[in-house]
Amino acid sequence: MTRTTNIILCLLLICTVGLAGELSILTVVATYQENDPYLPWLTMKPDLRNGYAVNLGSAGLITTERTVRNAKLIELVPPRSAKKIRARVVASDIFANLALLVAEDEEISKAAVDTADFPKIGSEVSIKQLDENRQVQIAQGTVMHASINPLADYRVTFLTFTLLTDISIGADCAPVLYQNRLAGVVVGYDRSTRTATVVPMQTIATFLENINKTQRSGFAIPGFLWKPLVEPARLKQLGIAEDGKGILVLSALPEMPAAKMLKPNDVILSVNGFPIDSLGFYDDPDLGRILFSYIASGRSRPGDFLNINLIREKKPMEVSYALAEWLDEYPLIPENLAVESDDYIVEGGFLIRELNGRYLKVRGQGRESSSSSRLAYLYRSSANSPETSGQRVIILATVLPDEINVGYQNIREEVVTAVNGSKINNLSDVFSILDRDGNIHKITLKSFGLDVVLDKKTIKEANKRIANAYRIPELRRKKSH
Amino acid sequence: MGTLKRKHIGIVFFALALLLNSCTKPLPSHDVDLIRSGVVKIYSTFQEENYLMPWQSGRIARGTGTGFIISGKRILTNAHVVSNAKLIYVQKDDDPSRYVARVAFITHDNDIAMLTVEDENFFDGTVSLEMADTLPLLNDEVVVMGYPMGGDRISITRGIVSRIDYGIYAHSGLDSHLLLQVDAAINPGNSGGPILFGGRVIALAFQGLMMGDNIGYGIPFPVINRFLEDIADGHYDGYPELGVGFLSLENKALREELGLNNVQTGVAIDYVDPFGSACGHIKLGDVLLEIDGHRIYNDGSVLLDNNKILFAELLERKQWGDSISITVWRNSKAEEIKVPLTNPPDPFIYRNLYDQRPEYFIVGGLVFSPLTREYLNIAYRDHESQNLPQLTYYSEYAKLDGLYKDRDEFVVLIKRIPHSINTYAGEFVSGILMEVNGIKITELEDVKKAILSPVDGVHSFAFAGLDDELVLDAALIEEADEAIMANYDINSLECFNGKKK
Repeated sequence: MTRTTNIILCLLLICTVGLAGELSILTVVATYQENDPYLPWLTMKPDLRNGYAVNLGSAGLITTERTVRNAKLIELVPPRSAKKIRARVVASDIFANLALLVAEDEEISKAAVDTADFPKIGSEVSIKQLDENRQVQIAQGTVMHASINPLADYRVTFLTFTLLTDISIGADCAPVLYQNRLAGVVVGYDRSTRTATVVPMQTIATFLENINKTQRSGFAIPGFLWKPLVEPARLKQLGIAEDGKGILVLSALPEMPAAKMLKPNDVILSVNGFPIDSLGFYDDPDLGRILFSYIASGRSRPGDFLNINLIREKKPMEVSYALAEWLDEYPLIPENLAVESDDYIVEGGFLIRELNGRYLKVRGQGRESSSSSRLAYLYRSSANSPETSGQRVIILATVLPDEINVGYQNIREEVVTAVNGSKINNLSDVFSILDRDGNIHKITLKSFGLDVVLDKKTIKEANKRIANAYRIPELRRKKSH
Repeated sequence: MGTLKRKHIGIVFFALALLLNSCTKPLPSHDVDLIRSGVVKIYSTFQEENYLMPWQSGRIARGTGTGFIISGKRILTNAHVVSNAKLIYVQKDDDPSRYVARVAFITHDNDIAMLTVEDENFFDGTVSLEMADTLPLLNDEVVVMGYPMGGDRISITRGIVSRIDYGIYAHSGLDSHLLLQVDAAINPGNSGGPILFGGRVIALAFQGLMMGDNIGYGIPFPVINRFLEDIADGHYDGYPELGVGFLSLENKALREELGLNNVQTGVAIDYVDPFGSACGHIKLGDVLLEIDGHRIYNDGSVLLDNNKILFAELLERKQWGDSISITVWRNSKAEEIKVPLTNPPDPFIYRNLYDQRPEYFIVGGLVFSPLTREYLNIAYRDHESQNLPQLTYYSEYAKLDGLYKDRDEFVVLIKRIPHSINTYAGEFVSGILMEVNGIKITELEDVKKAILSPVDGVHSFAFAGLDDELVLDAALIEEADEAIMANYDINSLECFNGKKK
């Protein structure tokens, strides 16, 4: 071989080795399995989700929560390689759609990562992803605007940026770089407009802070539902002379500190000294004009105080409350965003469980119409607020036919208000009664003038028979929280 | 009749099925020639109502059907042939003339109508058909006569009796009665015509099952006879409703809990309808053991001449004002009670409506109307409607969950007619109105009254299941109303039927 060829071959070798060493972005392949929303002892078939993991070195790797939700097996695949590296979830935040992974490979944690705050509108950024040959591919993007959006649940909103990109971004969590430093991750992409939604580094940094605290926490939210105050008739009703300023409080979210301090029809004029316009925007010193909820989720942490100037019944007032994070368990009917396995009791063939958003959505195939309209009403209206803390809607979802429940076998999705004569607020109460009495032999259903009664003496046998006949591995499930 | 969602409730009514022996012979063709002069063609021009824009009337259309002449120069046909009719003609098979006819009685709960003809010469040369007095057996041959699609002249189809059952009468959408099912072809245009056996009318042809083959239905003569009895006093009272829901007593533990012994059977009352006849006489927890002397079995059935029917069917033959005797098991003993069948009309069950104008009240471009079945259908088709969960819940659970209390009807914001006064009201459309200006809304007229007293210079409307309220500037209403009437060609901002109660 000639000398030139040797040199070229060596150079190629060096380049290849160099490129194979790139560990700032890896593909995540997560195998997940969720339980059946209708018969909760069954699981659905395992399936795969793909996304990217962004390497933060010793801190771990960031990916989206949705990619690794309920994952039984997580594997990372570096670029230009078929090697699979096991990883596990250290922490996740469902509302921010972020998860932190740690890999079983020391090489990965040795990477050094430079980060930067997300740049201003008009800036040029680059987005890293892997192409079909698993080579690193760089897309270019321009920052179009910043806005406040929910990432998983409408009640918890975050700062996001929108980019216009030159090529499509194929999977979740592609890293966005500004001047070669990590500035954010892509969490959504619209092919028709070539726009990417980005969660900025500031939010990822807060997420890491939150999970490293001695008491892990989430992001703070203002804690109330509101609407823009633009209707002239409303302004007249509330006695507000000047329009263009202030938003209207509709109601506080359940279990939120705002519930004690704010009332419906309060008009909020300023938050922490920042005046709010009638659409809910304020002038942020760093971001410019942005929705006021950023003051809670971005500029504050849970525990910090929100100071509010408002008008109540035509009189100006000041109130203040400590911010808190939102938890999925707070409404009367939780969403079950994290798709956790449902607790349940099967007694005498009656499947008793708590109602949640996932059950309603899946039962109705996206529209709750095939479920009882009473349940859809509770979920979709202002009624979705517990009267007492921890209150839930308990339903007798279905009856597994057996001789012990003859005569009741057509009962579906009825609300349970009492068990064995004692009122219940949630499934925990039902478990307590089960412990106290040894069985459930009497169920009070809402709007049924008579209780459903089972033969106490034969329940135990019946339970065994039903577990065998329907192949139910456990007749009761109660996860410890 | 009102049917509640739960499957185990039997508040459906069935006519008695008297199955006595009768001979089975095909109708000789010369008899057909005799009978055909009693089978008439009906032409109807009708106008539907518009339930989304109730200030204007709906489309005008024409249809045809069949009727048959009975004694007393009366013509029987289906209510759905002549509903909402503006002009009705009848015509005999051999006569080119059309005669103007009038509806004498029309009953939408069982889809029957009776016509009279202004010019009584129409009846010259016709025969009156006789009603049968015994139901045929399955497999008996029947003949259907009428004027269905596929031609203009009288047509005859032949088949057998396939089934005698009960089921929904599509015209009201809600009521169930006895049904005669035949496999003779029954096509559009046959409605109202006679189904004959042995030369007599055993049923009035009226429905078919689209997705089935050869499944046609007729209204059996017991239902027709009951109708004729009811209207004999010049006024139609309709079917009395017992108004109870029950749990079957198939479960031994439930029977023991209620103190029944091994031999007793019946059903346990777990719901008493506030608008039913049983209200005030039968209590929650009562077990019905016997009705009208018939023993009730654990699944709610009674045996009548060896046929199993639901107990509620026994009410099908009763007239409003009759009584029915029921033996109940209460406080561990049997008691006989007489229940007068005098239930009031129920504003919270939703039947298809005919021959009446929709009520509405428009203020500031907001159109309010009482909840109707028609509006529910429209709302379900409109996918943008945000307040469907409230609408569905209130219409289905009005009485079960006590939502009806202290109200005479539910009032709905059915439409927003765009004008600057109501720009922000879109999210409230399809909402159920609870209060206006702090005043509870019990019926549509309350809205008109409440508008007389704005609070803080505005009218505020509160809706079920919504945190926010709709607000209109009271000072701008008059001008807005004028502009809306002019822009959208609305002649009247209100229509009240001045109805019952």
